[in-house]
Amino acid sequence: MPVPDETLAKQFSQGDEDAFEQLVSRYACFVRSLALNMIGDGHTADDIVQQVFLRVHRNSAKLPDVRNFKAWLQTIATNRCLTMIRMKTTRPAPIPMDNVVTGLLAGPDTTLEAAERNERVQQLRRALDKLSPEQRAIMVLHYQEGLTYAQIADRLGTPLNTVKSRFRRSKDKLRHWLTDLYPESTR
Amino acid sequence: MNCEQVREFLELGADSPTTADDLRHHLAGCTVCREFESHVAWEDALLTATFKRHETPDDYIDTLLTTLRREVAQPHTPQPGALSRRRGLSFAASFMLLFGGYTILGATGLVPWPWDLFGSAGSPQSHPVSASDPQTGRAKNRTFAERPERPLGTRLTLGGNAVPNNNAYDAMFFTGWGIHPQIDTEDEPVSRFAADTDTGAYTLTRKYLSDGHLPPRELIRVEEFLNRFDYGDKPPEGGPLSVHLECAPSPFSNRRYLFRIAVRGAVISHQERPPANVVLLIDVSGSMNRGGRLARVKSALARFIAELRPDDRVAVVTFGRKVTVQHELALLGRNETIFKRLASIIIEPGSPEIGDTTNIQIGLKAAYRIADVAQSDDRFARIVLASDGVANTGLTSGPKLASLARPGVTLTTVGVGTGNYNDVLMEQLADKADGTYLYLDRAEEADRIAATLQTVARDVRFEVAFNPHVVAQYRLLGYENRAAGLHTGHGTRTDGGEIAAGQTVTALYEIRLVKNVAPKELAVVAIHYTTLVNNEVVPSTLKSTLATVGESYENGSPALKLTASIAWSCERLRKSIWGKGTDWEVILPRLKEAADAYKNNREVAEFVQMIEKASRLQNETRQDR
Repeated sequence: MPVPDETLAKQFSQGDEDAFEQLVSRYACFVRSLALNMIGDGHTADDIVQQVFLRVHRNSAKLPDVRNFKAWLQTIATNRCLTMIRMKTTRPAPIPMDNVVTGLLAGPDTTLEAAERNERVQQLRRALDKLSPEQRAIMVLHYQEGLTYAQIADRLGTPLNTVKSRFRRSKDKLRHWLTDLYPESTR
Repeated sequence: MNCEQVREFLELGADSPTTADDLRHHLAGCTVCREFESHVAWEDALLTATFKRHETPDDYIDTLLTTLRREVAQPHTPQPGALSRRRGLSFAASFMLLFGGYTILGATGLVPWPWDLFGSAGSPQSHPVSASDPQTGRAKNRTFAERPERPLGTRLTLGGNAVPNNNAYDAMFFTGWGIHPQIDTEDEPVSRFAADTDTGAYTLTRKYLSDGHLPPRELIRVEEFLNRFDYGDKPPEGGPLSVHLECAPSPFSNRRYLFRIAVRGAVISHQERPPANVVLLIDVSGSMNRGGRLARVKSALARFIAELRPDDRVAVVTFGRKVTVQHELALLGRNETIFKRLASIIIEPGSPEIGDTTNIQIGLKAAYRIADVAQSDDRFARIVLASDGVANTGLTSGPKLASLARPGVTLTTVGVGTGNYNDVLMEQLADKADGTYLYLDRAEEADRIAATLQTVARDVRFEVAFNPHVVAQYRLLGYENRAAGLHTGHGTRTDGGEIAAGQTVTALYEIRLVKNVAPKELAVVAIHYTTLVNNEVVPSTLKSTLATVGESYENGSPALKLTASIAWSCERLRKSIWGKGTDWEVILPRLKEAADAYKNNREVAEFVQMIEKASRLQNETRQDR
């Protein structure tokens, strides 16, 4: 049985640095993914991971009060990403995409030219760029972390109905920009 | 339930359990909503794949912890209130608190910021030291920072870094070549295969095991394990090669014999060899950024250059999207510029439109051009390609890339990295383009590039003609992708392998003898090879006959025992059907006994440790099941 996060957090607040390292090892991957999905740029994502864990370290005194460490970390990380996006003058960089995405975009048509596939990926990227940072945050928390709307509302400190309407609006936006990419069977 | 409610349910889900039934009922009768449902399913799949959990580089956590230790040692002001109100913070509010009271308007709009006041956000250096919370914060910080760095490889419990799909690393590309069958000499008395002095499979397996993973079956290419070791076979007294044959009863299977063939290249000292033209070809595409691959390659190649002689010539070429000659082919001399050039190589930025590009084709083309032009009477040419083999532009398969090879120029492919690594390309390219493949799991491997620099025999091929009156069946262990003949469908001719000075190529057959026949004149082994004399290719053949069979395994030579134990360890590792009846309890004592004769050989001792670990891991996984 792995030691629960909250126990580790408490141990760390009492001066156990190993506990902190374990928390970092547990969640560095998650925070980095979240940052990468929000911002797209690997270097900025790495910066965010560092900043988030530095904040955890500096706030060790408050850790015993944290009831759900992961949720707390999700909140810090998401807020940190939103801050970075707002600070940056440039738009978010494209998220790295893998073969699964390309496969879904190409559909059953395996004869599709590489250029056409590439164009479809670009279209998806452009569509994602149309989302506001808040909308994107909701998408990432929902699809990467599998959080429900209530959980997202809790993490972001936003009313549930706002989360729902933002989610709907982002889906509508994506549909508008991706309309010709839907596979025949679902169109 | 109307269409609108159904859509809301499909998109946002609902809390009431009864709705699911209503939904099914509605969908059964409504085509529009059914279409919408498949629509949403596709979107969900697409977005889940887009916003997936991304893999982190190999040593990410270690690097992060090191950075954090350094950072927390810096003085810092805690930001009061920023974290205490963890719930109910709006984006705007948390943003405000984070920066100590600057105002933004609403959630999206914001007023201009005096950025220079903060430097980069959260950067600890830019804050003045504060007296608040001195005990808890700073005393602890120091202990964390002062702690020694964790040695690489000793990872913490990694809750967040689950292994994808039960694999040790993501996106490792291997090809299975099958396992040789038993062949009746009546059907095919002659066995042919090409020499292979690659060692990539061995070192990559070592990497897997040192990280605590069992290597995949396809990775266990037996010949690359056998040819890793120096068995102490006598080098030739004249000519480039010597042949050693030995046959003894097998302790691993009933009524079978082991037949070992070893070919050793002439030993030529570092000072005696002719001067070399070496082209270092380095992959600088984005994937080489992962887990510090490029840094590892640079330090290994620097180590290799340090082994070269001042009269050798070296060029450095990098490739990714485009090719850059970093250092023209020039005499090494005693100056340090090449080390500086090497150190200054950085990852090529990916193109914003296409993303990351790796074009090995253009890299190889340029390297062969440099190496070929520079070929001259007394020098030999070698290209050293360091890459993770992940080619995505131009030619992307080993055999096709090998068509760029030019005669007389040999190639060493140096693989690096785990996770997104293409073993197939690196191995096949070396096989087909007069080369050897090695994998860089640690810096010492670079010494092997220098040790195998001088080739003494090229295009080395084995032809073993068994006497059907004495030998009933034979089976070659390993060399599955190097064999030619009836049972492989590869035709009768494969591209031979290269043997470097002092290097040994070892092959092991398991044979069954015809009953009641005196075992004599069992097989004739012919080694076909070519040498370069004044840039002319001269073919030669070396023949040797296996006349008798040893009485017992115990009386066999240490070389035979070690070869046999290594081969059977591999059989077990790759779960060969022929090694099925032989348990680790049989193999391990034999291996240890064989290794005792090689006490001074560090590699043999290490191999024993590797196999002990592998057997433990295999037994554990069996129990888990």
